[in-house]
Parts: sequence; C-alpha cells; structure tokens
Amino acid sequence: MSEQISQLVEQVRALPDTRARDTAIQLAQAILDLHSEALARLLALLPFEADSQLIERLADDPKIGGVLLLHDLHPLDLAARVRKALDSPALRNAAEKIEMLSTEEGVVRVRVEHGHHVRAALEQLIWEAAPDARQVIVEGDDQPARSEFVPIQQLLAGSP
Amino acid sequence: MSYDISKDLYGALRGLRPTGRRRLCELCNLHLSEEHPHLLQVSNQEVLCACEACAVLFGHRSEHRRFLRIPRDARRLVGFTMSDAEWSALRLPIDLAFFVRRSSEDHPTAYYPSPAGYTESLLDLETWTDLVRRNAELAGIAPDVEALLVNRTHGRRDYLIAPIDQCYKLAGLIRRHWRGFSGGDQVRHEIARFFDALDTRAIAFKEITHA
Repeated sequence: MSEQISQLVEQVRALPDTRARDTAIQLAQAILDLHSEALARLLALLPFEADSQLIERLADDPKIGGVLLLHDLHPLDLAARVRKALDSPALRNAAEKIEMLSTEEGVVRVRVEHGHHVRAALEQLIWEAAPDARQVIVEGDDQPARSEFVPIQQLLAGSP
Repeated sequence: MSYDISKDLYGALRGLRPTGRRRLCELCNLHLSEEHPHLLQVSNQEVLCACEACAVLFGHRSEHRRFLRIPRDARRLVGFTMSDAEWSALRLPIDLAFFVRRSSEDHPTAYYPSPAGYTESLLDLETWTDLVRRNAELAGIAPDVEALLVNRTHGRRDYLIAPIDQCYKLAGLIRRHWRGFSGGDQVRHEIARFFDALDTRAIAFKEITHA
C-alpha cells in the first residue's frame, strides 16, 4: 500500500492539467488534515494517567506508529526511535559496538566499530524506524576486527 | 521497530503540505492546518492558536475559564439600525470601530483601528444603552470573544457580530496597508475585501423586522 500511494502521488504531481493537479493535491491535503485533527483528538482523549504505556503500545504498531509519525503525533522523537532500532536483536552480533552520535536537523549519525559488513542492513533498519529522517550517515569501520584481507586504503594510509 | 510508512511514502505525503512555516498549537505544539481554532486567554486577552483537541479541552471547560474559545464565524445582524446621529454621538474619530464587553468590566469598550494598531476609546454609555434597547441582538454578544463590528467607511454600512480575532485581524490589515494621511486606495480595497469575506461566511443571527 505504501508503494502504491507513493506512485499515485508521483502521478498526480506529473498531471499536465494544473487545475486538476492542484485540486487533487488539495483534496489529499484536506483528507490528511482531517485525519491529523481526528487523531490528535483521539490521543488527547486517551486515559493517559490510567495507562501511560497505552500510547507507546499504539505507537509500536507498524501501521499506527507510521501514521502517527506522518502527522507529527508519535510519542518518541527521532533520536529515541533510532536508539530503539539500534537495540534491535537483529544487530546483536552485527558489530562490536554501534552507537548513535546525533540526530541534529534530521540527519542521523551512527558510528559502527568493527562491523560485520552491517552497513546496508543498519541503514535500512534506521530508515524503517525513522522514515522522517533527512539523511542517515553510518560512520566507522564496517570490517571485522580480524579481517583476512587488508583494505587498500589502510595500506596507503600507512605509506609515507 | 519498523513502520509501514516507508521513507518514500513519508516524503511523498509530507511533500503535499504547503511549504513555508506551519503554525503550531500554542498549548501542545501540534502542527496546525491553515484553518484552526483560536482561544482567548482571559487574563491578558491574548489570542492563541490552538489545535482542535486543545480548543475542545480548554475552550469548553467552564469551571476555570482560563481560556475561551473564539467563535469561527461572524453573525449577520438582520434589521439592525443605527442612524448617522447615533454614530456621531459615539464620538469616534473614524467610521470603523468594534465594541467589546469584557467580562471583567460592566460596560463595553470601543476600539477603532489606526495606523498604530487600534486605540481604545471611552464610550458614551447612554448612546450605547439606547442602541441595545432598540437592537435586542446586541445583548447576545458573547463577552470577551465577540464584538459588534461597524464599518461605515466609503458609504458602506456593515454591521456584524464578529469574532474578536477577526477584529484584531482587521486592525492588523489596516495597519499594514495604511498609506499617507487618509489611508489610500490600498487600505480601502483591503477593508472592502475583509468585510465581503466576513459577510460571505457569516451566519444569520436573527430575523428582526423594524418599522
């Protein structure tokens, strides 16, 4: 469904008839706003004191959480979601150390020490937890500590 | 943790939003759509932008009354009458003003827009009382959040019960577009446009027939 909507938005943006295009975009926007306000009211009505975990449980659901993100209603900010993603069991043996450096202005910086070729998977995992990020940068070395081959950069760095 | 909204979809849908800074709810920081409710903070008469949820939660709770929800639309006064003599008796320097009854005061105050914003003016109470006596609808103006808005400039005769935020908006409009000594064509045009828009959305208050 995600892909279908992205494609439809692209098709609407490419409509040659500017009036039709503007109307379609306004319609989509109005429907988004309607849902945005309704969701905000729904969250405001949740018995917050009674079950403070309720909103986080809702936000953990892939579909509900995604929609909350879209409307700026997600209870966890970008940094908290990235940290949570880095705690994922899938990364347990992926590197010696993975840490989040910063999320300033939506740019997620993550540092890997002695990763086991984990970069691509890590980037994907972060994007899934933070589709609202502007950029994801993975720093550090993505090679096992005892590699069987020496990367060419390392050889050159050692030469005078 | 992963969400069913991909980076592409997030970008595509967020990209539909109008560009430029969006306003935030002044109570909960939620992003607001173009049209959003306003609350009046009673203590300092400040108008706050609010999301629908906060407007419901704070604007309708009658026990503490810290905030009042400002109505969205103006109300059209049908059959309202005000003679030139009555208007003159109010002794206002320009032919445009709004009259507010503050819950903290027992008589209404007149405000008129000026190049500096708006100015408070003492009201001839007798004339006002007469006006209310002949136009019963005026008693229905909600304190603090509504005003009787009168525009008699350039031959127009606009009389509405207007939301207070609209009155401030009009004052801002006049301040922005006022040029020279008499205001100029631009401000005249803006005032006409403002009242036409307000009137289009106004709801009829009450049908009253006058002899």
